[in-house]
Amino acid sequence: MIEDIVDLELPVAERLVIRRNRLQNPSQSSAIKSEGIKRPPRIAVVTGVHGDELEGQYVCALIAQKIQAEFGRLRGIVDIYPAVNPLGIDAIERSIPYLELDMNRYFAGEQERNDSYIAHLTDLVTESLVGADLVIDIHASNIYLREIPQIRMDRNTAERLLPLARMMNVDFIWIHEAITVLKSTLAHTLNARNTPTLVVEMGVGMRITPVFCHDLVQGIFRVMTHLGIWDDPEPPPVKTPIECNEGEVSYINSPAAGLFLPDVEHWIGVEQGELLGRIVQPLTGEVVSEIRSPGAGTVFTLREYPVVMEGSLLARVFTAAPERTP
Amino acid sequence: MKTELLYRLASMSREDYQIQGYRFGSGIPRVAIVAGMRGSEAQGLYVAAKLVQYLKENEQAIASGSEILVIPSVNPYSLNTVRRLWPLDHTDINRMFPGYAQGETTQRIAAAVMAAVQDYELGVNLTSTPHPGKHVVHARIHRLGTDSVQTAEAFGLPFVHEHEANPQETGSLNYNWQIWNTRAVSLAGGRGFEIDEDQVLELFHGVLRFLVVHGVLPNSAVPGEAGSSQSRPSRVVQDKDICVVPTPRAGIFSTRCRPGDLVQAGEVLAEILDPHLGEVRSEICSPIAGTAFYVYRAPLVYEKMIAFMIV
Repeated sequence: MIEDIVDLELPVAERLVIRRNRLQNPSQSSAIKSEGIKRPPRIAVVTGVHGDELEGQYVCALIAQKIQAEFGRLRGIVDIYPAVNPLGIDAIERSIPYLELDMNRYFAGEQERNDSYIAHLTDLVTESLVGADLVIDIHASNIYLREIPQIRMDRNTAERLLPLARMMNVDFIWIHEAITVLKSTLAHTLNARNTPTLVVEMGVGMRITPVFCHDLVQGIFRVMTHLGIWDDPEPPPVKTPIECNEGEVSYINSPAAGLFLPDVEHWIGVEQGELLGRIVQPLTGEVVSEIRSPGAGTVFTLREYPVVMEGSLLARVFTAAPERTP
Repeated sequence: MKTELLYRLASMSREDYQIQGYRFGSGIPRVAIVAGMRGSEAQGLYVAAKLVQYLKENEQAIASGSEILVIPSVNPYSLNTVRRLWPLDHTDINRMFPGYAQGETTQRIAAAVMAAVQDYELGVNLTSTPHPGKHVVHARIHRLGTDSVQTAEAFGLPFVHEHEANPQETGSLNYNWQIWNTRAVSLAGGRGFEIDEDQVLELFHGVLRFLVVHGVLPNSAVPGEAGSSQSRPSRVVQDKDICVVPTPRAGIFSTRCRPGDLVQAGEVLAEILDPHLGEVRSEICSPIAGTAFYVYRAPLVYEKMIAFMIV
């Protein structure tokens, strides 16, 4: 059932509508009720808060296709929100078009606000998600960086979220310290309201990486099985993710301006001092800098957009795992 | 006047990015004035340029042992491409403070600005708000320092807005200045990408008055009313005192109300018109009597945007 979560008037002959698709098998739901369970378990897959992130679009489509093809297995509720920032997706713009503000910095957190338009959007989206057994907020990095499929969480939420994150068939879980600016994200807002929310980062902005999407969908169905939403007596195995804490990540920022040309593949083991890439000046052809790994580890973030300035992030290397990963 | 290159960065295709500072007087770092942090902040740039011109001509009047630093444009790259945010990655320098010298480009810029201005006793940031409308000129402070209201009142502007910082604003220069014990005030007004000559003069005179009140310039250095060390009373408003009037409909936004206008309770402030049929979709009335602190100013408006702020 397609439902309108937000429906606002736009100036000229159009409305701004944020939709979700609620997938629910009525016969299974009544069966659950007869077992004495008050409400069916619910999972929500949310994406498109940033208009330049498309990986989640494909994930939504794959989930909807699989559920429709095997509808009899559905026991709970699956809510799919592919486009929380529909105008941004249309305009290929990360932020909210016109206002140029990052929607994922305008969720309520624990604070009251008076930014009426964005607050209206974010509050209605939030209210429609509160109470779900799990929310998965899928991000696709940005146009600058390519990320391996990973789940990021604040240390304060790790105890509750880690067991769920481990089922998600991602390669990497990054547990970081609490960051003040992230208090106004969708995930922080929902976790603070007792609605467990996982943030997935994978791929790169404005593109789709099918293999990442298929892997994540497998993980989402695995966690749905765990939550009693999907009936699968023999769920396929999931990957055991690397778990990474703050302090085990080396950030490599560009020391120069130019074109970044990587010499390594993404998600590959590297040795200390190994050449990760070069910065080239196109006017002269001069290699202005050679970028080397500060330690042995695994490149889990790699620069995708070639133009860099001093400071641009080129790579993140997880430096705690001694062995080379696949 | 001493001109100083405070920071420089190379670009692949453009000329080097440079932050220039202008120093006046010598001795204790008393006042730092920072402008042009976003590409939309040309009004602040203009005010800062007028201050540089004034201080250059009147440098001998600066109280002995006092030093003033003016940075008219932190962000020439965005000003020159008429973009609010940093062109390459669309980040906001004024959300990157205190900065990180080994971090991302705009974190490095923020760190360089912070290093240049953090020892000053008083800090002024000529800034803007992200709203697509026009504000009255006002001094904005965060509720951190105990004497910040008094510091802000020295500008003699009609309003001091005591604003509680939201999570993103903990990355602003103003907020971090205060953490480092600089008494910091943001001056805002107007609308992004626009210049209002009257507001430019109001802000220029406000900063001169501020310098006089804090003993950095003598009364005699500033001609006319701006030189009065008697502070003009400002009305102090907190977030809860601002009555936000949202748009009930979307359409063509038609108003004659201007920021600073006195309005009556129930007065019709704007009409929202159907963009095809011309009919009035909605009238927006002021819920209270007061002053228009902010007026939406763009041809078209969405539903539930802020049409007015009345104080």
